[in-house]
Amino acid sequence: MTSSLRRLAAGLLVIFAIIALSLSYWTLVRGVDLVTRDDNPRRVLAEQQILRGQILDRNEVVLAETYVDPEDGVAYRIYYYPSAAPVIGYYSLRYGVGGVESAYDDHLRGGGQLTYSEEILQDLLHRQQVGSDVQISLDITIQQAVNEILEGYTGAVVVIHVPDGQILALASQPTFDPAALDENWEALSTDPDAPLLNRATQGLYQPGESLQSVVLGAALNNGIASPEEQWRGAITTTVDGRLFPCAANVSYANTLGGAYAVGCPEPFRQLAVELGAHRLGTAIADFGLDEPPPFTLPTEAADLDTFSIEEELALTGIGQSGLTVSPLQMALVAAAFADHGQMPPLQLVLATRRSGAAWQPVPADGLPRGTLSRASADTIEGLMLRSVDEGASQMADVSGFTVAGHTGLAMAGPEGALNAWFIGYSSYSPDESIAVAVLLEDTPDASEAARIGGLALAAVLNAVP
Amino acid sequence: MSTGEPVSSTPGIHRERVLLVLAAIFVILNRVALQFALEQPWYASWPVIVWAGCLIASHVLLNRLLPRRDPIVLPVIGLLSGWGLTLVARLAPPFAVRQVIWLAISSAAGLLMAFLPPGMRLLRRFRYTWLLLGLLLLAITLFWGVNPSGDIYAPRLWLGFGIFYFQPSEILKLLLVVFLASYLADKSEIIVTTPVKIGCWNLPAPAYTGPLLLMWGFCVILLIWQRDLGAASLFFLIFLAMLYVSTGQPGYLVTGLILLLAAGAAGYWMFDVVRLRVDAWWNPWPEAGDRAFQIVQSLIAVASGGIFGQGVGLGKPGFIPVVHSDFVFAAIAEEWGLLGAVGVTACLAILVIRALRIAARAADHPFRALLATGIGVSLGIQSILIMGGVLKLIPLTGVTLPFVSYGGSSLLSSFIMAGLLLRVSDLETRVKLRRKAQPAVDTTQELSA
Repeated sequence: MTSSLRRLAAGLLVIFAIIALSLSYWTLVRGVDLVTRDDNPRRVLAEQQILRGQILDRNEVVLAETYVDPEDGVAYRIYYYPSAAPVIGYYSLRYGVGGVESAYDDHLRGGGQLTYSEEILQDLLHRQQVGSDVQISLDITIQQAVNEILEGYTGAVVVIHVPDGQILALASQPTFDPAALDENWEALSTDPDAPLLNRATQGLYQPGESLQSVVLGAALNNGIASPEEQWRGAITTTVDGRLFPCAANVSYANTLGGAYAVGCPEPFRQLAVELGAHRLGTAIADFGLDEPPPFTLPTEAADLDTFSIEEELALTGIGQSGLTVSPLQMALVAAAFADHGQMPPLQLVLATRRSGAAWQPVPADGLPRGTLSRASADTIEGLMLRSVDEGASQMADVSGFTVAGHTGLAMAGPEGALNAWFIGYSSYSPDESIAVAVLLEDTPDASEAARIGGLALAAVLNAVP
Repeated sequence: MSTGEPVSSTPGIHRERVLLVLAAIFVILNRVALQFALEQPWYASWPVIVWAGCLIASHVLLNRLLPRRDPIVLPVIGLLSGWGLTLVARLAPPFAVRQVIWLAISSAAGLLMAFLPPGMRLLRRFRYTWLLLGLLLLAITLFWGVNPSGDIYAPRLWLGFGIFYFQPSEILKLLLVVFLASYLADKSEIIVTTPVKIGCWNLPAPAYTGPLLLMWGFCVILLIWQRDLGAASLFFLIFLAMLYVSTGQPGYLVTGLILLLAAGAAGYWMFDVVRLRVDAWWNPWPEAGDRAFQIVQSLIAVASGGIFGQGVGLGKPGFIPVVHSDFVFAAIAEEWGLLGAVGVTACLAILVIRALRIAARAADHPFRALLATGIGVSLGIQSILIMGGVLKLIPLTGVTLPFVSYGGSSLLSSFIMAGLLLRVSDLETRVKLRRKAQPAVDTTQELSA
């Protein structure tokens, strides 16, 4: 009996040892996979306990912050300015994060700021995780004004400060209220007008006549055309059998520069053919239209692998080929002309700060880049001034300020719908300007875009002390 | 220790006292920590005072009744039951009062075992009475059983008395151990020594294999009628282990395990509840949100504990359904971490080893030896079944973790078992001491029995 007891005891001990090993396996080997599983309810709970950082505008106005209910310790995210939604995005336990909330999620949650030992201590003591604050370049008064100006349209407006490339306002309509996201998610995500889509950064549109600044700039840079060149031919053209009109209601244009100022397509179709695919393609790349601009928020660009400039050379000249652009990219084009051919890098987040610490500046998203020679850029500037003065962009004028701009139409979709574009800028000091890009979907009157561009510029310029 | 033990009983009692104090420190510290973590009022801790009272009373009374008892058993069950009480207060606060009442009843019942006369004839003589009583209880449950959750589709394994529920299979388990110890003590020799030759195999005579098959059939019936996978496998495994120890023949163990697997396989095809448990064990991941929810949540809880645990009252084991009875081990792993869970495993292992050691020392008295074996094996296998189930080593069976889980009947039967164990250990030390005083008795017999 003793020997069988001994064997039984040994057997049971082995099984107990296996249990101890299995415990170690689940905690040490598989621990991380298990804890990070989506169906681990502790994650949501832990998330609710985080004191997420604030998002502030350039003047340190609080745009978003977290409020912790003292009763149950559950944290709520509060958004004070629904108009900033396209930039700030949203934070939802159910639907995740978007915008700056997503791009700076790690900072806002307080991740990556603690040393290893601090993190262990925090974990051990179940201390509340406190996130960093994030300051963005938006000026909320300008953002609100621009958002209001755009209300009722479907489109986007981007306002950039030059030469530092800081985004002062970025509006996209229709938009959403991040404070009521969970309740409205179903409607928002199925709405055909796509209010959750940030049209400014991720909306890709035919540039149409708005690409003329790039095409003409390339021709000037390569010395194959001049604005004073006489123009005797047709000014409108047809795309897919539909008339593609000028931006302004004109019946003729005397010169190439004149055609630019009123946004007539036909001369640029021919100019593109004259330039050839290589030179035109180089200019497109110089203006960064071939790739998503480096930016805090996700950006989009046309996929140049799906079409060839060579095959669609003439169409590319009038901005109706496979080359599509986002309003943000066009705002950069405007900014490049504002700074004599120098395109600034974009900047949205200015600084971050750990709770209780000082602001740590954040560098811009990328580097400045050269586009055209200063002479060519300044020539275009002259034409832009003329466009506001007597061309298609007259509505963009802001009293008391000099505004340069260019307005164009683009054909969108098979039904012959027209989108309106405006790019422009105003220099309010020898080396500072405000650049703006406007896109309005389904707006055959191009001067609407110019008007909104002018209002947006006025909103900034009148706020400048 | 078996040879050099002094005649005086003081060292054992002293040792037990030291260990009890350590257990009390652990339990009280945890209770205080829980108090702060859950922000409960100070008087919410009164159950722990009852617990301490039970332990002190047991220690003092046993010093008089069983001065030569094993010094490890009481501290270990004290620690486990105190820990269990903390867990019930943590996981299911409304049940804490009920649990502590059961703890007092169980301690008293355990102490009662110390009064059993040395021959334990009461237990041996009436073995069939005990077994029939157990089966009668079970039969009553089959017809009038309820489930405290009120779910009419859940297995109805309880008998209700007002607000108290009683699980007869726990008492049946105890009675079964007593019956088997008595039966095998008388019959095991005959089972081994009268084989029937069929070809080249030595098979035991059918008259004695009969009980094995009967037992197996009984467990299968239990499985079919009550869908109580846990009790059925537990009973059968206890039976196999005791048969193995009494006969010394591993063949029974092997055959029995094969029979168990066969029954399991048949159950898999015949009963949804078995299939569900086996499927959820084999590959829970695809059905983590549905049928395997419990086991996956249990593993997540174990993983969230890490090495040191989240701390008492600071984890979130409440996400596992019925955590306070079936998944209490996962809750320990989450809040006390790997260290705590391995600690509980070690405590249970120590308890089992102590029981088998007591059995080995009682080898001269087959009944007492088998009784201690049965108790050790019952506690051990039950712990292994539920810990293995929680850790996805074996399919989950809804048995309790002895001394720790919420459940009055389980606590009662476990404490009675512990009481019997202490009774046997005291007797054996007395026998030893007497033998040492009269060296004429051949001590080699002790090992050969």
